[in-house]
Amino acid sequence: MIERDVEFGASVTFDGVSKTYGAVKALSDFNLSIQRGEFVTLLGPSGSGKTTALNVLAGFVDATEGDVRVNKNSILGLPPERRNIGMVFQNYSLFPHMNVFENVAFPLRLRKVAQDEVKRRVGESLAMVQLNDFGDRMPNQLSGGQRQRVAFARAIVFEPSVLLMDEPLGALDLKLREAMQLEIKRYHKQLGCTILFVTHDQGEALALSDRIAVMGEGRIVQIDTPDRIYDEPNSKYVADFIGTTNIVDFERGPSSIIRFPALNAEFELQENDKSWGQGQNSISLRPEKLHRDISPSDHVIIFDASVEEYLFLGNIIQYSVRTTTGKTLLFQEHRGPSVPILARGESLKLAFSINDARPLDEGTHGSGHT
Amino acid sequence: MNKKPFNLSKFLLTGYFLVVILYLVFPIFIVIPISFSNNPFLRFPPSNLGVLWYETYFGDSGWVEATLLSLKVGLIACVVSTVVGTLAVLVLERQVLRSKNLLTYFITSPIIVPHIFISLGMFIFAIRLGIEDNAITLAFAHATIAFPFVFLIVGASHRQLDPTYERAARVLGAGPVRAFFSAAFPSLLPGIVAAAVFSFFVSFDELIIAEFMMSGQQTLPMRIWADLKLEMRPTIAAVSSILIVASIIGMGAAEILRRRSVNISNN
Repeated sequence: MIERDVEFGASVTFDGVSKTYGAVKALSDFNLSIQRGEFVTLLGPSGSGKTTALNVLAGFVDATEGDVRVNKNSILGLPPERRNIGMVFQNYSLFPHMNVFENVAFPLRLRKVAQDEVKRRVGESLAMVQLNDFGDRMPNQLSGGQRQRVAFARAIVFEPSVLLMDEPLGALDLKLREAMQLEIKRYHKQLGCTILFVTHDQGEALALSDRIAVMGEGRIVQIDTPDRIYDEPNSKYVADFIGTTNIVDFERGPSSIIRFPALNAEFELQENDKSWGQGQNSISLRPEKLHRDISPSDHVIIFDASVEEYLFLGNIIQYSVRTTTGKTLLFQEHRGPSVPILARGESLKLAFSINDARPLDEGTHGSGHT
Repeated sequence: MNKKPFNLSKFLLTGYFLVVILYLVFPIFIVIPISFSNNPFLRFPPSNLGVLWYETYFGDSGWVEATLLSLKVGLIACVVSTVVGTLAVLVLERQVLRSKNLLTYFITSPIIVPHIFISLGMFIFAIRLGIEDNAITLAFAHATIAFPFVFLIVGASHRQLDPTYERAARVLGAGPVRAFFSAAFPSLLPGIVAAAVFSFFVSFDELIIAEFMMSGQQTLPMRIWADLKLEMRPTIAAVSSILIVASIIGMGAAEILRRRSVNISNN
């Protein structure tokens, strides 16, 4: 395996970038700073602007407003071929009439690298993706996973300042996708390159990224580390998009009482929690944060429910339960000797700590998805 | 026993299929056997088998000259229409043009306009310029009727292109022209070759425009037509048989190329 002396990553800054197509705003005031060597994912549904942002950086789409800088230099005036950016596409985009070696050598040949050096660097890159002996194969003789690895080798062989990946695993089946996620993590660690990754798959984003930018309606709704995005979504939009969650409405009663009408339960805020849920009216409650064995305390909300249906997920049982007011919630439990599986129709008391309930904004910056 | 029940619709469809195929290849069944007779007249079925009329064809300088002229005109028409047609595809498929539909109708109009009108227009135009009865003039006239076919065939190939290949080439460091030739052109090439073969035969077969434009020299179709009017000798059957075989080989080669490229890019 090769270890690099010099990391070839650069920093990337999107500064107030907008892109409009007629009346449609594909990107509006998009701001993002990516550190050198960082792995940042743009996560969002189609039409959220993530691919537009990527294409502005690659040079396929002209920004209507704003600036994009790589290592503090604006690149908006440069055509794609002079931006020194590596890119991996969902369809691999290997040239069908060139063998694996020539595909990987292509960017080096354009840069007039000497033949010996081309051989050495293509060899290194193919070794990195464990396809050393595949140089003579044609792309149509490779499996999907192998093609994507060749595409990766081709995208990094010229040591680009940033590596862009546009849904690179989208065409692969689940098993292969998981294996490739580990591969990509390994490449990133080994190369130390800056990666901007685009996906609509939240699991992929959580697994791979240093930071995730959740996109909605052409802007970043929330950007943070995967664990914080998961634990502390800032809006209904993010809470809904990342993982599975229960959204429960609440209202403020007199004297610090928080009432959850759907749960038929209420709760009194402590003196130092007075600002909790200010200006908000719903919480995100992850299914694994509900419990049936919590003893009552200041922080705990308890409510009655009955089991409607359950899904057996291996080490986890996921119940859908119905509260006394008829709202359906998801509730997950790890299996264990002391945790008997509940039967359909069985009544139970469920509890959660107010610290595990995350108050939500209605949506951020007008991204009104709920 | 496991006997399949009689399937009427399948029987009818197969029958219909055979009738249509027979109808399409019927002229070949007639012409090729006639060409191998030694009779002095066109007669079916042939008696007296031999290659007399092939010998007559190759031995007659008039026939050979007519064939060479048609080859020359066909090749020039093929090159002109293929180049211009391919360029037209690139402009119309890649530029955002408000008049795209209008231009497309305009480009494909020679397919619809009767050749006799095109001939008349061309003839008057050529006489004004004093370039009638000239192989190159005829080739350019033929190129106009071959051009829409090139446009349609290459256009169909172009719509199959995945633009991400060229984008990939661009980010890897290729300028727009280089990216086109390394990422798009190889996939377009079989379509272009097929269009070139097709446009060659459009010109090679063409009679009406040639009759208008040429007075001194004769193309092969002109010669066949003249012969038919005069004497109906089996030389025509021999010539036709040669043309049929040449067309089958040319079209077959183009089709093989096209399929091979589809296989490569589909995987």
